[in-house]
Amino acid sequence: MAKKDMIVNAIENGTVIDRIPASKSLMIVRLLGLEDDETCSVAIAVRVKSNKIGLKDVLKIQGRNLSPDEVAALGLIAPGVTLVTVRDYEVVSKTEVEIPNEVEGILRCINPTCATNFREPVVPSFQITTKKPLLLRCNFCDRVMLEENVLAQFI
Amino acid sequence: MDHLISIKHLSKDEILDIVQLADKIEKNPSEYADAMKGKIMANLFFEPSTRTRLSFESAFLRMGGQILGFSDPAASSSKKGESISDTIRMASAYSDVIVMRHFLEGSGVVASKVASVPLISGGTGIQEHPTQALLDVFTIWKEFGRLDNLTVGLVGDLRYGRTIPSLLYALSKFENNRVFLYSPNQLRVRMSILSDIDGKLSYEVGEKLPDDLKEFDVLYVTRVQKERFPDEQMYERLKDFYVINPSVLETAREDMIVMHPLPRITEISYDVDELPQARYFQQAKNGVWARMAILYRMVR
Repeated sequence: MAKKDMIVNAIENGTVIDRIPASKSLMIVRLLGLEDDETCSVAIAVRVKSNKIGLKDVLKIQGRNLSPDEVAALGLIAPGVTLVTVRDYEVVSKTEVEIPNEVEGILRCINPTCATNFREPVVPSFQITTKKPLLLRCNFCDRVMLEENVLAQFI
Repeated sequence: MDHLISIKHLSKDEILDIVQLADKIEKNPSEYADAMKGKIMANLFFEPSTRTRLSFESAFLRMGGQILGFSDPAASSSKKGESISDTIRMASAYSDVIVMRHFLEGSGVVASKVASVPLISGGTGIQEHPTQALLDVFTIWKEFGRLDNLTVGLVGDLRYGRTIPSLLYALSKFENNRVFLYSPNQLRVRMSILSDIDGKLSYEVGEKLPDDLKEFDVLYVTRVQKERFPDEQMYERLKDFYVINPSVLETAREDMIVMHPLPRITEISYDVDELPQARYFQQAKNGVWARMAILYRMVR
């Protein structure tokens, strides 16, 4: 896209998440807790034309980089997105986000009687047992979660 | 073995070691009478128990140890909202080994992250009951002298019974075992457990018990777990789905054994108790020897 066509401006420092499947951007906003994060500014572009995937969403996050756990969780709900790190208006890294092998924090177990859903000082964590279809397993209670169980946590 | 939370973490050799040690202890208990002298076991039962709690107590007392704990969470600080982690930290300071039963799945992993003494699960929700599986395989080993090449029928509530996954994991460590999983459709073994044993243990799933039981070495019967049912009506419909009585066992070999983790409700009729195949009370008794072996390996 030529600069004159850009819907939102380039960012100085932060993260761009590109090639988000159309309408999944709000899910990612919730996953990253961006609604409540007053330390960063966020621009959301929805249903932008893309040569590669038809329609896409784009998120530009000024003033924030993602933690490895956040990148892993991003790989669960939107594998294939492009993660771009920007410093002083320059792209310093650009990677395609893949489905991780394990995810820690961010997600909660869907088993209502899993001890991690009670007031315990532990971080829920999950093994990804298969990627297609997506199946996760709680490292604490062994409950298996499907892709829809993951997505439902960010609707 | 630092903690015992799941049979999945035990190797075949570790299982055999416990079984053989349990046998040695049973044959010569006086040799172990002082093994836990000066040691304290914390027995923390957040959920009711008869056999597991009493047999752990018996096991530790028989080795000269002392016991503290509670069998009613209403009498502990968990009633005031204390977390599992805080309770376990405290019990670690007061004892040399902790046995914990809890109604939440995942409680064993949570507890093991903070326990500074060996922690033994006495059952975690519907997830697992590892020491029951060890006494089960001890019972089978005593009977057949082996833990491989066995044909085992599991009958009843295979979904909510926590002894089932642990026993399947134990049998899956040994060669050429075959299991037949009989349950009402609503109470089938959970998919996650089947995927764990897939390729390691030959299994078939069914609803109707076969008319001919002669190929079975073991018939392992379980109670429909009323307390775990989301729906009382469904429980009422399914509670008597299987009733093992002498006529059901007519075709069974005389050396087949009928096992049950107990308590039994109606799923095995009282007149089976007198048959040569009945082994469930012996199985419960074996719990003491198996738990002595587990404690001996973990505490010393």
